Amino acid sequence: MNIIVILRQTPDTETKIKLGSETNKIDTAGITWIINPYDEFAIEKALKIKEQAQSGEVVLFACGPARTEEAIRQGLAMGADRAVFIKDDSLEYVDAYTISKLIASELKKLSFDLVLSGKKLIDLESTQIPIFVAEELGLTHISFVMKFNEVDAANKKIVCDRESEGAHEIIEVQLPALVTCDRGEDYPRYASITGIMKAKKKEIKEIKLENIGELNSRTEIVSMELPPSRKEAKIFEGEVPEKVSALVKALREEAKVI
Amino acid sequence: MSSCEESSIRALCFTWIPNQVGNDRPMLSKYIPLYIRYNLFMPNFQLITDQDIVRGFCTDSSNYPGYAEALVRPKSKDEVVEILKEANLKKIPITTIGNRSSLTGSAAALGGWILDTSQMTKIIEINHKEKFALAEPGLMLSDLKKTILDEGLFYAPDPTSEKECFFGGSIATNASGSRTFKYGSTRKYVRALEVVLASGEVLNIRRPEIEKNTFGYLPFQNMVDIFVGSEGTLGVITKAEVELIKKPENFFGGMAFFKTLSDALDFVISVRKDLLKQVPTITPRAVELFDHNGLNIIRPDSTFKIPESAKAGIFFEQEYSSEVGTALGGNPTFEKVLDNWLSFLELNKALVEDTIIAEQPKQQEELRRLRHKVPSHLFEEGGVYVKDGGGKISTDWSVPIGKIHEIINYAQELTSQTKIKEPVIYGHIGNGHPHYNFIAKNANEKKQILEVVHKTCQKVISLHGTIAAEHGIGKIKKDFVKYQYPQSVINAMKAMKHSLDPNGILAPGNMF
Ligand SMILES: Cc1cc2nc3c(=O)[nH]c(=O)nc-3n(C[C@H](O)[C@H](O)[C@H](O)COP(=O)(O)OP(=O)(O)OC[C@H]3O[C@@H](n4cnc5c(N)ncnc54)[C@H](O)[C@@H]3O)c2cc1C
Repeated sequence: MNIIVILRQTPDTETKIKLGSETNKIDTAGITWIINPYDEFAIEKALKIKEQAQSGEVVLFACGPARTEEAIRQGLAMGADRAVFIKDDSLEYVDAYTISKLIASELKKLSFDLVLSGKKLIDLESTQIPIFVAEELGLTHISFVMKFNEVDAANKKIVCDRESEGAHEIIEVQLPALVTCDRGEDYPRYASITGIMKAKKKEIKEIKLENIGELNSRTEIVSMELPPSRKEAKIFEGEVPEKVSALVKALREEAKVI
Repeated sequence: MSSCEESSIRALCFTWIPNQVGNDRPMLSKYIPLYIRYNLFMPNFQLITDQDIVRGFCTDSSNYPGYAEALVRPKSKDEVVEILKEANLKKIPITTIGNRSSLTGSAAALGGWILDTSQMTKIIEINHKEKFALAEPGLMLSDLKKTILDEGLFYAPDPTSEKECFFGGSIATNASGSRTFKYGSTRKYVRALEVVLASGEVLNIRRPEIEKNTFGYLPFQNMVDIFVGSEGTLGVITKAEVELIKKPENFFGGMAFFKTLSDALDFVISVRKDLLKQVPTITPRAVELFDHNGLNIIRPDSTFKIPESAKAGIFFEQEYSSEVGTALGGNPTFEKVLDNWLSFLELNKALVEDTIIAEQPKQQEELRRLRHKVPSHLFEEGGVYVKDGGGKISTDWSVPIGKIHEIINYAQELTSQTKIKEPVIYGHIGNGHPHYNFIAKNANEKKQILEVVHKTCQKVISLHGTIAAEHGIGKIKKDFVKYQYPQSVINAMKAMKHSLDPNGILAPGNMF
C-alpha cells in the first residue's frame, strides 16, 4: 500500500496573530510553525495503515515556502519514508486553487494507492486543497474521515468511518482514492530520538517551481483585519448574596438570557 | 446611627468580645450574631461569617480538617493592615491562604479568621531593563508566568501546581518544580517583599546587593530569605518583586525509559556527574522520575507509547539555542544536542528506540500534563479513603544524589515487610528528591505507612538529607521536625516567630 500525505505548515495554535505592515498579510515574525494538526492526524493514520499492511511506503508531499522543510522533517521523524517538496518562497501567498493545481500536476507523476490529508487547515479554516486535488486527478474523495474500519491492501479496498451530523457513515471505496482526515482516536505519535536521527538521512526531493508552471491565483486577499476585541468581562463586587442578585439581574435585564 | 453612637458601641463591643480563641468566650457575645458583631462596627473590611461559605475555605489539598469563624478577603495592603491590627488586638488567629494547594495542611485554618489573598491580583510592573516583575500575591502563578513570557521574559520557578497555586503561596512555601534542576527554587528569584506583620506594621525588605557585610546574624542580614518559605507564620506577603531572566530560545522535552528503576537512578547519577565536567555532554533543565507505578498511572491516557518492558521513565527537558528559527530543519545546535543525548542515553542503558522527543509546543505541554497527572491522580485516589481513616501519604524528603540508591533500597525494604500497597515513586529525582507516595486504605494501613515514613526520614537525615524539600511542614509533618533539627534550634526559630508575632496569631499550628 503506497500512501501519499499532503501536508502544510500552519502557525501554532497558541500564536497571537499580528497584522503585517501590508494590510493583506500577517506578520510572520516570531511565529512558531507546526504541521497543520489535521495533516498530522493524516500522517498518523498513514503510518498505522503501513504498519498494519507491513508493506508499502508513506510519502509526504508539501508545497510551500522554505520553512515548510521543518514540518517535513517532523513528519519524516514520525516515520514517513521520504518526501516530495515543491519549494518556493512565493508560495506563501497563493490561493488554494493554485496550490492544488501544482500538487496535482506533480502527484500525477507518482504511483500511489491512497492520498491522505487533513480535513482542514487550521489557519485559514480552508478545506479546499485536497478536494481540488482529487477533482483535478479524477480521484474518488471522502472527506472528514475519523477512522479506517478496514484496509484491504490485497484487494485495494478501504472502509472509512466518517461522522456527519451526529451520525456515522460507513463508506467502502475502491482505491485509488483521496481521503481527508479528522482526528478520530488517533494521537500523532511523538518522534523518537532515533527517528529524528534517521529522518536526517531520508530523501526530500525538491521540485523547483519554474519547472512546473506559473502561479495563477484566482483569488486575492485584499485586506485583513483582526476581529474586534471582546468586551471586558463584568465583575460583580461585594458580598456573595449581593453579587448573586446583581448577576441574576444582569442576566435577566442586560443579557436577557434568563 | 450617628458616628458618636457607633464609636461607643464599637468600644463596648471590644470589651464584650475580647478573645475568639478557645471556649472562654464572654457570655454577652453569644446574644449578638457573629455577622453583626463583626461587621456592624468595623466598616473598613468585611467579614464573611456564613459558615456555608467559610467551610469551603477551611482545608487545602492535604484534606487536613480545618475550621474558622470567618473569612476575610482584603483587596489591598491597607486592608490587610486593618485586619491584622484588629486581629492582633483581639488575639484572633489569622491563617493566610493562597489557592490552598498546600499538601501539608498549612493553608487549613485552626479557628479565627481566614485571610484570603485572592482579591489582590495586580501586576504592578514588568521591568525589562532591570528584569523584574512586581506583583500582588493573589495571581495564579501560571497566569503571571504567561504574561511575563508574552513580554519575552521568563520567570523560572515552575511547581507542578503552577496552574493551581498563587504567586504569594509559591513564595510563602518556597515552591520548586522540575526546572529547579537547572534554575533553583523560588527563593533564588525573590528580590524584595512587602510584608504586613502581625501588629499591622508594614515591612519593606530587599535582598542585599552588597557583597560584604559583617553586621548581624546571617539570616537577619537578608530578611527576605526568612519570609520565603515561612508558611504564613511571620507575616502576610502583600507584594513581591521577583527576578526575571531571558526567555530560553528553544527547548525540547523527552521521555526515556529504563528496564529497571535502578538503571534510571544510575542514569540520573551519571547526568549529575557529567554536569561537573568542564564541557558537559548534556545539560538538561529538568530530570524527573516515574517508577513503574507512576508509568501505570499515565499509561491509560498517554499520547505516546510506553513500552511494556519499561519499569521506569525519566522525563527531561533540554534547552538549545538557535540563531535562525528552526530546529528539525537542520539547525546544527539542535542536532548536536540531540546527538549527545542519543549517545548519553545509549551509554546509560536507556531503551533508546523508545525514547521520545517532544519538539512541538503542544507535545511539550502534553508531557508536562502527564507529569502533573501523577500527583493529581494520587490526590484523588487518596481522597476516597479519607473517610475510613486512610488517604494519601506523601513524602517530601530528599537526599544528596549519591545516596539515592541507598535510601530507595532502604524504603523499599521497609515497605516490603508490610502488606501495604507499593508506593508510587516519582518526581524531582534530578535533585535527589523523589516523592515516595503511599495510599492508605484505612487507619490501620495509615499507621503502618507512617511507621515506614518515620524510619525512612530518620535514615534520610543520617544521609544528610532533609525531610521537607519543597512542601514545607504545615500541620501534618510536624512529627518529623525533631529528626532534622535539635530542640535548641527549633526553640530559636520559635523565639524569632514570637518576636515578630508576640500573640502568636499568624498561622497557628504551622511548623511548630
Ligand atoms: C497536584 C499538586 C502538585 C504540587 N506540586 C508541587 C511542586 O511541584 N512543587 C512545590 O513546591 N509544591 C507543589 N505542590 C504544593 C503547593 O502547590 C505549593 O506549596 C504552592 O506553592 C502553594 O501555593 P498556594 O497558593 O496554593 O498556597 P496555599 O496552599 O494556600 O498556602 C500555602 C502556605 O502559604 C501561606 N501563604 C499563602 N499565601 C501567602 C501570603 N500572601 N503571605 C503569607 N503566607 C501565605 C499559607 O498560610 C500556607 O502556609 C503541589 C500541590 C498539588 C496539589
